[in-house]
Amino acid sequence: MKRDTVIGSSLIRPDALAKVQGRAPYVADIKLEKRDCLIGRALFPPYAHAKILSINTSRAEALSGVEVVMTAKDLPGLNGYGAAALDKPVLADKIVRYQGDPVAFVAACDKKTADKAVALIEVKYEPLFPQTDPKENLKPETPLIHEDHPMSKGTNISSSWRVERGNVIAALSRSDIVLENDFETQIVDHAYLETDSCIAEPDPVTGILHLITQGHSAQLNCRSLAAAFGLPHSKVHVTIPIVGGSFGGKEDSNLEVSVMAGVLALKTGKSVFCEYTREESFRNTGKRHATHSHRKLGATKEGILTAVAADITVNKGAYRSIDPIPQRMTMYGGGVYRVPNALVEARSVFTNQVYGCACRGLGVPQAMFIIESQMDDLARRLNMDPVELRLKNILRDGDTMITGQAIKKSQGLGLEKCIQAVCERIGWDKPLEQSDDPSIRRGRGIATIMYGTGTGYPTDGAHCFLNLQMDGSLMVGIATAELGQGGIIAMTQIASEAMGIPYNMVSVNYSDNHSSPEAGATVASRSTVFHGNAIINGCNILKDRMLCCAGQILGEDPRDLDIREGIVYTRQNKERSIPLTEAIKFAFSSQVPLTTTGSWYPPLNHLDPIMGQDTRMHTYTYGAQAVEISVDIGTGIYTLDRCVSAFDVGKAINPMCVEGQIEGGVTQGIGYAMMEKFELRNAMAVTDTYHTYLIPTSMDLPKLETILVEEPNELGPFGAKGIGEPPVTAAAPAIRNALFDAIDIPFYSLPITPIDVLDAIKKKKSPVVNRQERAATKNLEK
Amino acid sequence: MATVFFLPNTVEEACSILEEWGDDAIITNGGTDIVIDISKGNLIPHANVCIWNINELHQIKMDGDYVRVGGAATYKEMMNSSLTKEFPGLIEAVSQIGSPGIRQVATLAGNICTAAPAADGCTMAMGLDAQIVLKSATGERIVPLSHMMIGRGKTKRRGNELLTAILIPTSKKNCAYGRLARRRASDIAKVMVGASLEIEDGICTRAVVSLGALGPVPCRAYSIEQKLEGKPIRTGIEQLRGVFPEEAKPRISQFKRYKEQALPTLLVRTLELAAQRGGA
Ligand SMILES: Cc1cc2nc3c(=O)[nH]c(=O)nc-3n(C[C@H](O)[C@H](O)[C@H](O)COP(=O)(O)OP(=O)(O)OC[C@H]3O[C@@H](n4cnc5c(N)ncnc54)[C@H](O)[C@@H]3O)c2cc1C
Repeated sequence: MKRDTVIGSSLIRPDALAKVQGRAPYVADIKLEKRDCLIGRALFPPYAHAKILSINTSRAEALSGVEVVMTAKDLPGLNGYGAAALDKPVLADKIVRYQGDPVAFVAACDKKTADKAVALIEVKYEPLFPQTDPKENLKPETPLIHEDHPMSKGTNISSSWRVERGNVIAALSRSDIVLENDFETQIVDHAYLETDSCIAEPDPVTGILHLITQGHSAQLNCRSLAAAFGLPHSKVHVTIPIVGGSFGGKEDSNLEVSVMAGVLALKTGKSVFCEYTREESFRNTGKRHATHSHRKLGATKEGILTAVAADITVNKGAYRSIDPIPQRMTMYGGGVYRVPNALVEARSVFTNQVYGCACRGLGVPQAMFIIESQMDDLARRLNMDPVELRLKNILRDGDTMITGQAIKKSQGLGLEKCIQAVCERIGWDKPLEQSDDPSIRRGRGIATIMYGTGTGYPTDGAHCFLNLQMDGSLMVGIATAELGQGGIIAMTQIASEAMGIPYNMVSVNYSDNHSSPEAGATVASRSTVFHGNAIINGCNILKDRMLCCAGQILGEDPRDLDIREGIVYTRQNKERSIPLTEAIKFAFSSQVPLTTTGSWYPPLNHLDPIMGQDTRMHTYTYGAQAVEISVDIGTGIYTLDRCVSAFDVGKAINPMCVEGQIEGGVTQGIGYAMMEKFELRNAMAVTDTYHTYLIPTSMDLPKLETILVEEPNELGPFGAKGIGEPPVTAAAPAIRNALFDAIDIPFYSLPITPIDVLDAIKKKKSPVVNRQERAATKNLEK
Repeated sequence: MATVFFLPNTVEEACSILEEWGDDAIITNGGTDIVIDISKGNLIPHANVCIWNINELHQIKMDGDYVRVGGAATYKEMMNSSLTKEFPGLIEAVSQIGSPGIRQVATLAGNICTAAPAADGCTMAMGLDAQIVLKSATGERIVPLSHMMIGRGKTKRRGNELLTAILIPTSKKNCAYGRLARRRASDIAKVMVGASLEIEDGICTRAVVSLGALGPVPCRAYSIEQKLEGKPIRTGIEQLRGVFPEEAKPRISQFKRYKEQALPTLLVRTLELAAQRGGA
């Protein structure tokens, strides 16, 4: 029998055609099918920090078409919800902590009426000073943002982490070179196409509240909200249709509309639809965290890294949301390098502004910008090629990260291959061609990254339900959310290969907490590996059972049998075979169950919380990106001419989807580098439309060149590693380094807009020269 | 309050509706400016007169010494017309507006009548010394575009008048347009310069220079025109290096410094391009 495999094949995603033709139903489309659905809207405060003195809803309630107006006193359960802590009030009671805290909800017959009613609610506030500076909020005399936070008691710190290894102070004092810099990264929005929306339907018979909404895990949505509804988890049914983009945001941001729809539905006993406008989505929902880092990097004069010391402050915003940012920024504090001595400390601090949540990369885009920028500063100081410097220091088989985790080749270690691949493709060894235009300076830059697969928590694991059918087809109940990444097709391909049946016989029932078990969320670049492995495990269980049955029919030892394309065959004699359906029928009549649970979890992470020493991720994805840019020194406008990325993905289950993930991620990284910035004035959003919040268009991109490197992860499904987030992390430092190369100006904050570039050029005392010109003058000096 | 909608098929029909409703009516052309105001609730018109069905207003044709761009001609129509294509600066300006979707429906007339500070089409048309034809049920008048805007969002158009055409002098084909924005598409530029030069034997006989996004509405840079006229064009441009036109008055914002830093460069570059097109 031919060993045809669907693994590594770019099968077309089932959602692709439906999306292109506009037939794929998003939440708002599903709403169109629902009759008698009320519309829920919220009143948000005109302040980022204020005491609520009084609320008068009588005029709103009197408006015809209004079903109900709710304030904090009318809630069915706990006035708190959230993914990590139930710290976000369903309705602000005494205080508003940021501009997105709702003060009242309205359900009405239509949006117009609901909006009119919202405008009729009268609230008296006592404005308070918006505490927006995390450094200030760390001071003991500064008032607490949360008087009584469920997790952070008596402090404005949301979470903190430190990684300590060796002796940093001694190592830095012995280092030939010590660089010391401050870095700032900005808040960015996910800019997902589908705004946050939810339909909540109370079931009068079962008492179940059904939420049709967005998310990264139906189970997580349920867990985050059930207490606010005053319902047991079993009575909160969450289904997540395909999602119109999320990038981490809807892991918890869309809980805002879900909780609103849910409490209004429980109050009215009717279906309620809530949807944010684009402006509300911009103003209220979570963002990528802004950070400030002070970092020292030590090295020998030969360019061997000796020590890193960093102090990082993360602007948390008003609520905890998803907050391993300090942990991630510290664990990756040494980058992709061997650094024997490290002390990296980080904390996230509550402020009165929009909260930071998961945003593709979870702290790593910030960390890599800092680390990779400083590497180029070091290369410049050493007068060494940035690639040569990197190759001297990268982690190799057996080396340890600053967390003490040993990096193993068996987990897939394609870092050097990625660097070589991008250098070869872009022609790193050849001089960069300069422009004839005297106002153009060209430059090249590189960045290298690593990114762990999974959350790294001891709870991290995945489970699924498998249900083999009499006709040899397979139903998979797996909590993968289809966020546009190609989750359904990847799960299908893995199940097809593991079960030995054609892929069109596999049906994936995704993201429904009532038909699939906990699998952890579709986050942390983990679904292909974690969910895929759980499916393989379940398929192996079912396969063993079916092989036993087939063995009885064929009179063969089951250990000699295998299944391909729905046929059970004998390995030694392929002619001796039966259809899988025969085995299934035999199993059915012999009371052998056709269903099972599949499970997978990585090796336990042994943690030393004091020193931050652990083995957090079972595998890492590696990558390198090289870019070429042209800078117009008259206007500061710069063009990305080329962008070459290589990522070691272990095994590309579906290469087209993997490339899609990489190109999308790289594009977001380019936006992070060149233009994206969510701005606030007095803690109130300024950039709350696509008119003011810029993301790159296709016109801003070069053809993205993508190279897949496959160094198998022994624990991954068919060798796979995660690829959702890694691609977003390298662009910012690569572009920054290319600018440094082109105009000899190092930047230390993001984004780097033409406005920043021109300003820096105007402030520069010496003429703007590029690398070749610098080299030429150096030779002359010699 | 309910809005009354009109979809006239002729200029006469449109003008008589405007005569009746006057300032209570709004005109919708491509709608890419005004519909935003309506949907945000900033504007609740009594009457909405949509003019995109008036075929004659889509025409682009010769009219004596002018190219006559109809009051409903879209950017797409301008980019496709052999007459407007003779003005490379004009094509540079309109082909960079918004995105293909916007250019499909949006019009130069709308760009002018909105009287916004950062209007590409309007800025370039001013740099071409365009004339505006305003028509009402009672007559027609021509206003130079350079005098059309009287303040942000305000023009000399009267409530009963329809902008039926933009007249572009054929003598202004040596023209160029420059804009600086933070991204390549769908972004309002922060600095805009339009210029047309008439050059005889290397001498600049007539210069028209306009600025956008540097004041409440696009404006002429007369001081620059004066410095150019009557001089060899190369010398004229050379003496402008580093010059910040006195007519440019960027308001206080996070982009003010950028405008100050970048305008002199863009001005010289745009003039150089126009001069090059003029064979100098
Ligand atoms: C996404 C997006 C991107 C954009 N990008 C740009 C850009 O890059 N550069 C730029 O300059 N602009 C841009 N704009 C603004 C807008 O597209 C332009 O100003 C456009 O030219 C307006 O034309 P319109 O036909 O759509 O005007 P409308 O919105 O129909 O009308 C605008 C105003 O002019 C009046 N009006 C229109 N036609 C007439 C007429 N014939 N007689 C009398 N009054 C009239 C209307 O009553 C209204 O007050 C953008 C808009 C959007 C939505």
